Amino acid sequence: MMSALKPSFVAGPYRPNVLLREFVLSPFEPASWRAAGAIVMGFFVGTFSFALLATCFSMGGSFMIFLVGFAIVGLGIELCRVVARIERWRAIFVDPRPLRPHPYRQFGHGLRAVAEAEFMDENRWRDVIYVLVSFPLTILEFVLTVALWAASLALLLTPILYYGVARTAGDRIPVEVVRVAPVLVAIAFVGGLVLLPVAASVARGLMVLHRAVVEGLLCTSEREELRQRVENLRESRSAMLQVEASELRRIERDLHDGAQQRLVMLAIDLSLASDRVDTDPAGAKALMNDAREQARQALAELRDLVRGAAPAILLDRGLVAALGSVAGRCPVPTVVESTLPAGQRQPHAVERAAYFVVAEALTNVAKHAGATRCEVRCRQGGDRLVVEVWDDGKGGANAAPGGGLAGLRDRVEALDGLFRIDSPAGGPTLLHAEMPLGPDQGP
Amino acid sequence: MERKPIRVVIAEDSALIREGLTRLIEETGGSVVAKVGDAPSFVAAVAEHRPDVSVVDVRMPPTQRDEGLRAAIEARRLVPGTPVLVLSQYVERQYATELLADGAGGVGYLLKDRVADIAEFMDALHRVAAGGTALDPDVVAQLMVLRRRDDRLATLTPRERQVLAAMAEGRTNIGIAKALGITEGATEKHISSIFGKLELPESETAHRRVLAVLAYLGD
Repeated sequence: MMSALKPSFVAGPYRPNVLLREFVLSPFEPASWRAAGAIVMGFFVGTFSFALLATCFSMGGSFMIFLVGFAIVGLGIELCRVVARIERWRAIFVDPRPLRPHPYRQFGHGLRAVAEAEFMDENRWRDVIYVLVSFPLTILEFVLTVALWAASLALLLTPILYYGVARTAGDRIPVEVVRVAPVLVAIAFVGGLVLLPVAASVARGLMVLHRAVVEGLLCTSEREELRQRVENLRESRSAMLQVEASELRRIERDLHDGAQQRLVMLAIDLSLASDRVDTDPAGAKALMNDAREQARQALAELRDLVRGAAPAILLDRGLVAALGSVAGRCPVPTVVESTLPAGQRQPHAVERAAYFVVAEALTNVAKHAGATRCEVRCRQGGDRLVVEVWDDGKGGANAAPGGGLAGLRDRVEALDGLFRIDSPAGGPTLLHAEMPLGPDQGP
Repeated sequence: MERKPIRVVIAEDSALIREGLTRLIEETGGSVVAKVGDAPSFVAAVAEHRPDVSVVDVRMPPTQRDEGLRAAIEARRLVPGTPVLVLSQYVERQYATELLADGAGGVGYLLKDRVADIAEFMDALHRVAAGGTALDPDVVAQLMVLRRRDDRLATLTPRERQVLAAMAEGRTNIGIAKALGITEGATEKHISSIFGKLELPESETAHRRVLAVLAYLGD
């Protein structure tokens, strides 16, 4: 097929007659014109962006002593990101196979987070390097392409030129020239015929090379994405182990500090009561009443512990019912809104994570937020379960390491999910968690 | 306390609790006419024996989820109004709502822990057998916590809140008076004040009163 994206001399297979045919017909291929057009475009983009970048960096550099300098440099870097988009588009314009842009670090909250994302992002700096590198590259490409095309067209037009000159000034041309001219013109014309496919093919080849530069500096490869994915999975696995370990520690501690001690007291009370039941029945009775009280409280604590570790209503009736239950226990008036299809259960791990996110969030709302209203929202977004807790309290919540909210982040990330807190000082606060429901979860 | 001897069916898969309950009931003059360990047997036993009251555990084989609850509802469908006292390791508002949905009296929903307080448990059992209601204070507490925008509950005095909670548990006026240590007259005054403030409809029986209160709290 003659509409190959990459010319055969790059893509192979190297079959001589195919190569020759492609070469000869290249001037008429739309692909060649697209390549030439892209190179011309690239020249303007390359020079203009380099000039702007140089201005930003030098101006920013000289103002560095005032903080505004950093802002100007940052502007320059963002400019390179825009250029990267244009350049990727330009590469796709010539060769429609898709390019995956490399990921950029998200801006967080606060000056420090923004500065980190802007100046410490490897991929943003790659964009800058690209602008610096593509400046000479695009000039070279442009010069080569324009020179070859112009030369070949000029050569092809010499017969017409000569004809025009011969017509207007035929009798004034020296005889020696007239004798030699047709031959020279013919040679020139043939030269033009040969040079034209060269111009076309060279332009295409140059764009192939340029795309390689774009791919190397501005895009991620599948391999890079897989590497990133492995890294994410490794992190989420370790988060999962953290969650499990801290859960078990908490259960152990609650049992030890609570129910276990009460049962010991209870046993002591009963022994003492048994000893004095004949000699001091009233005292024995008092001890036995105390024992009853210890038993009652131990049962209450065990009940709370079980609800904290494996709430039965979550197991029996599912997420929405369990959310209703925990919302009902919150002293701040809480409304649960769910658009999940009724009667449908989610994979158990996801239900648990969503439940504990809401339960912990509501505990925080009750203890710290000073809110008057709270909303729990629950919905399915694509193949993900989304759970949000909103309150109109005083805000300022963050996932400090070792804290409850950090534990929630671990839970959610353990399931490959996303956890976000939006809690400016003064409120309101929004906790957002989403988790994939995918087939690899399994109920 | 003298009470009419009652015939009881027990549905509980833990042998220990089953025996404990049996002992409790027989020692206070009742008789256990059937002891079963799973939901289908329970429904059959109710149909066969027509007991004065049944005691059912929420959690039973085979899936150990809420078979007992469903069996209780099923038994009341088969034998309308048969009194059932449901015991559970934990109490949830939603289960209480399901049990009370058919509007008939003779429903109880208690934490298993309450069994240890013998007088209270037997009082609840007899109340349910007589067609009244016995809701665990824990469930009532859950109901009284959840509030929305206009909160007429806030207009009640602390004593009135206590009386309201006791009414929601299904206690009779006498029962409320005894539990709170006030006179029956004072109880009645509090009750009419509460009904006035919350704009609840009048109710003839204690059970209807429970439904009215729960309907208000459950909004």
